[in-house]
Amino acid sequence: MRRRLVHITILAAVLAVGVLGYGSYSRTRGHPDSLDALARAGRLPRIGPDYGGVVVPPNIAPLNFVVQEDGCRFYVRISGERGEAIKIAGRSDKVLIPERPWRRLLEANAGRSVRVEICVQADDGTWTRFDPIVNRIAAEPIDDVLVYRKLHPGAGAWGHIGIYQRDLRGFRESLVLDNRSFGNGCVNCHTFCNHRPDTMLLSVRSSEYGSSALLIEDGDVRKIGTRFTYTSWHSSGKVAAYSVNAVSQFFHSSGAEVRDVVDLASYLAYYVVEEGVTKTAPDIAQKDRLETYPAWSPDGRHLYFCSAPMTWSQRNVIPKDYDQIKYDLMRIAYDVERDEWGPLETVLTAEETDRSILLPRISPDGRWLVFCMCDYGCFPVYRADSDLYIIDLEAAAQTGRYEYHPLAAANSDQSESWHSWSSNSRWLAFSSKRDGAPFTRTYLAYVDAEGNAHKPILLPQKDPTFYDSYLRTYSVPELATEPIRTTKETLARAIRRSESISVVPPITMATPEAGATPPQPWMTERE
Amino acid sequence: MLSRSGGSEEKAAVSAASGFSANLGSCVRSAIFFCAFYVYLWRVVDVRLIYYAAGMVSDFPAFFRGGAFFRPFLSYPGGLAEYLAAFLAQWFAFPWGGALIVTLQAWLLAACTGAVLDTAGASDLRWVRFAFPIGLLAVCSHYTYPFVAVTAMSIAWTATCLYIAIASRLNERGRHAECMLAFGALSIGVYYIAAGGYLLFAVLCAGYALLQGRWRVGGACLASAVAVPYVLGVLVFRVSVEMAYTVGMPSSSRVGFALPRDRLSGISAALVLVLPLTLGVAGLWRIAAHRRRHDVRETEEEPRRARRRGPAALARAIRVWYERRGVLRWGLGSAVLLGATAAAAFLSHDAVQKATFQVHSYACRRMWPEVLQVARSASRSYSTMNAVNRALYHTGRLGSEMFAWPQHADALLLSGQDQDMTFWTKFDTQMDLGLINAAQKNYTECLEVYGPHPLILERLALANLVKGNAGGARIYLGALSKTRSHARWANDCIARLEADPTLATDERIVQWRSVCMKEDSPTIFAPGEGQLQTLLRENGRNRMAFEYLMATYMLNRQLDKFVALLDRLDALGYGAFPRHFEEALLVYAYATRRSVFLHGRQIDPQNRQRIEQFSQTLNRHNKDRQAALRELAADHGDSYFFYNLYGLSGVKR
Repeated sequence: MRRRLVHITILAAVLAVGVLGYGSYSRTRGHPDSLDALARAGRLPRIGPDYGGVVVPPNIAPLNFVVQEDGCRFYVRISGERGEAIKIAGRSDKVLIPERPWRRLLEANAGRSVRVEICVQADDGTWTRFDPIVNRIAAEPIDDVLVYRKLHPGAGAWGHIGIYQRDLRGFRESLVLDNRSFGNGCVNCHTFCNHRPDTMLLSVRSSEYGSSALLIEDGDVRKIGTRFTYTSWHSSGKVAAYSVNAVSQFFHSSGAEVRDVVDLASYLAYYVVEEGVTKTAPDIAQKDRLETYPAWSPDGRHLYFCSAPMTWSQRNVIPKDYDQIKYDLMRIAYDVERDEWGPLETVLTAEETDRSILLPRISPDGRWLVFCMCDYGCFPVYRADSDLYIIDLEAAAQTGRYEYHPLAAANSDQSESWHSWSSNSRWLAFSSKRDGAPFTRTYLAYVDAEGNAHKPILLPQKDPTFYDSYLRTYSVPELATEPIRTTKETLARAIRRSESISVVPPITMATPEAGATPPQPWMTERE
Repeated sequence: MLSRSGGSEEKAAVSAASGFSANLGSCVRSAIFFCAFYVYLWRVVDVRLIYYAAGMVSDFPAFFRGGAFFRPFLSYPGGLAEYLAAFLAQWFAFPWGGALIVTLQAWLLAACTGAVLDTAGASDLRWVRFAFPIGLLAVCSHYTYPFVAVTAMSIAWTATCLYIAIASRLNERGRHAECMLAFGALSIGVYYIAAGGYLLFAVLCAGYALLQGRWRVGGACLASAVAVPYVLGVLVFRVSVEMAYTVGMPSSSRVGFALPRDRLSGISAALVLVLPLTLGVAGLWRIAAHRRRHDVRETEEEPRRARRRGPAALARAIRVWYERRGVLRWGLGSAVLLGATAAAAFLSHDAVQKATFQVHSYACRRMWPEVLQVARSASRSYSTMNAVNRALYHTGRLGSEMFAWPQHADALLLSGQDQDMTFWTKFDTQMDLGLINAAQKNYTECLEVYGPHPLILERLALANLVKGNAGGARIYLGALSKTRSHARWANDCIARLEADPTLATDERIVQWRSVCMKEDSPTIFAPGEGQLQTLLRENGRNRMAFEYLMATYMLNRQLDKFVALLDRLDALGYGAFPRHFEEALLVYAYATRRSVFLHGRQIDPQNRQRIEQFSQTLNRHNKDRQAALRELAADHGDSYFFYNLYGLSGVKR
């Protein structure tokens, strides 16, 4: 018996060595003898996803890609000024970069460039060498964790919706919360305090368990018995500002985007964590204006938000001039210690830009404010004309003028939205539909010291063809410095619990009442 | 009754003598049964209709090739059973495939049941194994199939056989600890693969152990049925308690967002219980037999014993005689099986439901003559009416035959049911009319509700291609290229997109684009008439919009609007009036006493004659509509005259 065991062990070891050896051999065999001697294509190779000429985080997972050139054998050499080059050869056009050498190469070349040289062998045996792709490795890392929501693009029926987190250093994705664990409800925007998920808020809506917000503090999950729509944490962690929106969805009978959204009413409020109460202030909840998308400045002294005038009287019907609703960018001073609001200021008006200003997000160093602008409305995801813009707040403080410019390299002819800063203020994660609406994918863009965005990279996947057939959209990508450690079952249990922190909404809206459980998902749902 | 419990010497001798021939007979019977079962499912039931019933079957699992689809199934217990179920489900797209899958699963369940009963000493109850194919036949006859539950059961049954084989060997050698280890290892495997199916495995193993008289092992198995899902599911995989115990069971609604049709969920649940209950009955029978023997031994009243022996001896003699007649036994057994199966097939066969599914299936595949061929037998539901009208339009007969079929004003566009996904075919109607955005919105919501069924993805790809959104279309096509049923079509589309990104040479796409609504009228849901008017205003050659608008006016008896649209006939290339148009014109003229401009056309004299006859019949009954109903229905039940008067159609005998 023991002898047999020994034989089996030896056989297994030989097999393992063989497999590893073959794997290593097959990765490098079949490459051309000398790259210099090869015929040159005189152009860059086509690869997908398009990872050419990009700035790469030094801590990102391998940017696997497909060589979109005809050939029967492919050879790829990825090299930097320092460290060992990675050589991959094979018959497959899929280039799967081994993780460890990739990590070593990025670490060695942080702040420098790497070259991706691609050679393709035609059926007749001749090799063609393409011009090298040169990518820059940023010196500043991106936050390790990206938290996003995945759902089907319709979102009219609360199908399968989940919040997931991805370790950006590799390909590992884990589930944070699945709506199937609480009766197929809706799980909304997730918001972290100072990029740390140990203090976070998560909104849920469920026909079975009601609408609530989950407050997670150091593993302790509490259910707040009211709905937060868009939320922003004050840097002190004492206060979270949120919007209450009476969302109404409608549909276009023609045109590229079928869905559209209008807020029939909205206002801002804030939740004081220690007291467990919600409050509002007159300037952030004006009866004749629609306030939404709150965003605290990192020093906590100002709350930025968007606001549009209500030009129609009937609050429960979609206005005929819905395409004339344009939001201004506002800010209001706040003293967290005294819980006192200061004067309201206009940062940028829709009149100046002739577009609707939405989703302000300020970099943690307080210098940059990135926002979306689209032709009208409150929901940039549904607007193909939505692009990202940036304001230098430091310059504005000196000049008194809020000058903005587009993040041209990050934008496309499709919708850009849902941007999130990294904790070091150098990276933006954002949603874009450039690869095929209605599917939203996550892109990562480097923003340099001058406030210029560089060509973004698509969130890498182990299988480079992953997105070609992936039927769910990625929305609300939020960068975090650590993974969410609260388990999905703890979150689901908290949602299913009947006890919650009872809060009285500071304002009760006219019909339809915001914060009430919606009668049908399709009426209020959006990506 | 049971071979071991009642194991007399005679019976053993009989069994030994006839064992080979009995086994052969049983094999032959099984082979014939399952062949017939397969042919019946394929040719009579046509289980392929389950695949084509997108919108009617909510829990049909979609399958895609590749790791991206596979990996999520690894993350929770029961995921692999769901993956396997989805893999098997894709074969339902083929006429022979679904029937083969059901037959193989039925055979596996039956074979495992037979094996379990044999080793448990309950061979006389082997006939119970046919409950599975008969039950599945009844389920399939109603065009539903619990894919995951049957797969989880198959896994549990196979694992039980494996355990019994291992346990019988190890126990013979007295290695009870290793036997428990084997059970533990299988428990982990079975729970991970089949989740809720593990409960069945544990219960069956417990039943087997109890029948063997090993009470502690049986108790341990039963305890593990509770403990293993909690430990592995709740504590290790961190799924909810409900999920830990129910994924893979017929009651689980996890596969589809919408609740599956529960018409026959009772049968599915009963199938789960068949084998555990049989083992329970066998155990009780054995206990009863044991007590009886014990009682007999203890009594000393010989005369009474002798009296009792009389009928018992006779019964035994008959039984021995019967068991020696192998051919008779085979024949009788086969006849009973045939009778039970035929009864199940007869009772579960629902011709109307089959025809309804066929209408849906043919309409999905745009097989218009076939739709009309089977629609007479289908239910008179709105979706059937909707499909019939599409078929009539596409075969050029809507204006002349629509009132030969049951009609309802709400069925033409199903526009009042926008949120009701059960009317799935209406989205195809919207697409054909040119309401591309409405169709796209509804297809997208279907994707959420019914999952990524290839038929839904195909339509979403087409809607995006029509709108010129090649990027979005590519993603749907990319997903379809990983399916078995649509891979060729999807790859062909992708290749054509490479060559011509606008697909300007694709006739079908060009046709859809030509009728596509251009005016953006943002709304929640526009009324059907308004949409048709817009389509016709934008494109005077949109013949379908015209005919549907005319049909809407006829169905709603808005004949003034109907007459106002007649001037479009020339532009649309009509020669003579379609029959119902003439009938509507005559009704309008008679009712309003106004002359109608016929745009150079003539009214068919036969139609004039018909309305005269209609009027005479009504007058003969003193204009009493109810009194004239029967007679008018017999002669004019397929005419607009009749519909206009009674609101009924398709009633001509």
